[in-house]
Amino acid sequence: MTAQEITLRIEEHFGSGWKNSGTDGFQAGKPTDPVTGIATAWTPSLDVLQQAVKSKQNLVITVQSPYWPGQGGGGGGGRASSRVPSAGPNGGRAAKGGGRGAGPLPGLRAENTDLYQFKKKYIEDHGLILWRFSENWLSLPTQPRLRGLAGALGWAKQQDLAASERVSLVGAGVYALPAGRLSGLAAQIKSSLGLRAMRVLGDPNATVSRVVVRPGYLTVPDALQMVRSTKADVVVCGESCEWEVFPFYEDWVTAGSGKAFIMLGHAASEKPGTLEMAAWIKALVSEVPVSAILSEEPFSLGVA
Amino acid sequence: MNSPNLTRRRFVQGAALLGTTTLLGSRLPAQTPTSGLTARQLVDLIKGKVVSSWNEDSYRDTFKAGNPDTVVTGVASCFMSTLDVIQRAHAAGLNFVISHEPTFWSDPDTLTDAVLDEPLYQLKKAYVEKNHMVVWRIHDHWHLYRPEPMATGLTKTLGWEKYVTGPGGRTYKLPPMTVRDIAKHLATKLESKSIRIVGDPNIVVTTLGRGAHTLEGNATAFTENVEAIITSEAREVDSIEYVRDLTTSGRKVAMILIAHEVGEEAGMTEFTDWLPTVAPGIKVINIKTYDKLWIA
Repeated sequence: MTAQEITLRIEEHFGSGWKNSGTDGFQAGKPTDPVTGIATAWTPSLDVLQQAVKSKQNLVITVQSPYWPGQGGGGGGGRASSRVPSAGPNGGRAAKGGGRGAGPLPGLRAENTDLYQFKKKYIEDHGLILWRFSENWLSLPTQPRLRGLAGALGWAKQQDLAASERVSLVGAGVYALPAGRLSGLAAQIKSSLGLRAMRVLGDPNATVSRVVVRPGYLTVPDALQMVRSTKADVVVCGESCEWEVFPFYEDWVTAGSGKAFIMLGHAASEKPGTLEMAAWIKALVSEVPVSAILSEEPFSLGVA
Repeated sequence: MNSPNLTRRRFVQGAALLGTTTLLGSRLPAQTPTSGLTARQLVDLIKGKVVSSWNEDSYRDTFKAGNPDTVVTGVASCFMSTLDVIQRAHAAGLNFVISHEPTFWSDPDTLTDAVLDEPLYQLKKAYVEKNHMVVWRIHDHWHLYRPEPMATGLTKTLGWEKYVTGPGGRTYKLPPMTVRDIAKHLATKLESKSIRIVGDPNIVVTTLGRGAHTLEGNATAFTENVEAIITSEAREVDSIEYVRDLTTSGRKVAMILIAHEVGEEAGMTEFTDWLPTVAPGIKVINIKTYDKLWIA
């Protein structure tokens, strides 16, 4: 079975609903090559690709693309309408000139780095085929990315379905948990997901119970929506911009409207969704083995 | 005089025209050469001094809240005009908040319908207006001041002036220390509990680079002969995954990530020191935004 036959079967599953905006599709390799195994992953990082080679999975299906495209490249957020923050977390500011950071920087673009050549060569040398499955994957009404994360947190049964419905368009869900201290909730999340460097805003002694969860990168319109209609007192996401979404939630906590904001880490928040993706593809493609390769949290702590 | 807004505007304009003594004198600190200035007048003074030519098209460096014609009782300079910072400025008797970052949660402070409808927007705006405060942003132009104040402030806070080297002073030549030791030093000096490391914490560093928010900036920083770089806030999908791949490819390097707040807070302390040189006698205090994140 060739890579193209596999991806066509996935596209056919969506029927006329398949979105063709340019985000999803082949990123590298020969679509006509026979497939020995399929790996799903959040991002095709070099370590993921090395594992795929080792386990003879030559078709790697991922939410992100291989050459570090930034948020504006899509796939980081939820639906297309809310994917790019106001000015783009990087691009908008860098393009303005004289803006961000300390002093003028020569813009060494990704494709001009040695690492780009190294990675490109690695992919070619090992005959890997990369296919991006982002926009369409995130548009599935069954919300496998969210379900995966909620399941890993052990909260699936505590979902408030009515409140979740109000934020389903931004890919979020609401969970009504037994009331407890923020410190306890944070410890539970950390151990459920096996994290090292999860960041929390809020008083550790605050009593919390109602959590709205959104994996991935959170943008301002989604951030506002997530607390407006849900009466949540804690927001959990993967990553957000520290000069946009983060101060919104800081103000939200200062004003007493909410209690806490938790950033799991982008990769960490997408990990359970990768397993869901493997299971979903397995149900469609029985001819070749399918399994997920889990990207580990890239961070360790500055102060142990 | 039937609209409360109109009444307040006339009152404030009147105060500006008459000077400070008649209407607001009792609320002001001791008379100084620059007392009685409105926020707009103070901004005009700043514009003429910070760079040789002010870009009036900047969408960042504009008034964000309050009436610019309000007489300034004191300036609160800050990294970010959070509600907490605005409240602490008010408690300190400072009614003019000069912030490096946005007020209403997007880089251009875009007042979309969703923001206008947001109760927090209304609360924050009402707090500023009720307390006769004004918020203005200085971002692009403060980065253009030379020597670049954000870098200067960070270097001073870390006590690393003597280590600055390299093109544009973008690297530090340090006595050998591990990435973890550097992270500990940063945590202490920057009062941060949320410092994270990408790569091996045990790498010994003698040349430390300074990264940026962007992939381009960080990729450039790694082209110098560095063992590690410090970066304040970078995106996971580009910069962090780039460093992950860089280490997998065999480069023995690491990135130390600090919160945006503490990376640039000291740069606004530089502003606090600079402002009286253009507005002698002005009351100006740096109100810290703080990195309030903790690691679970």
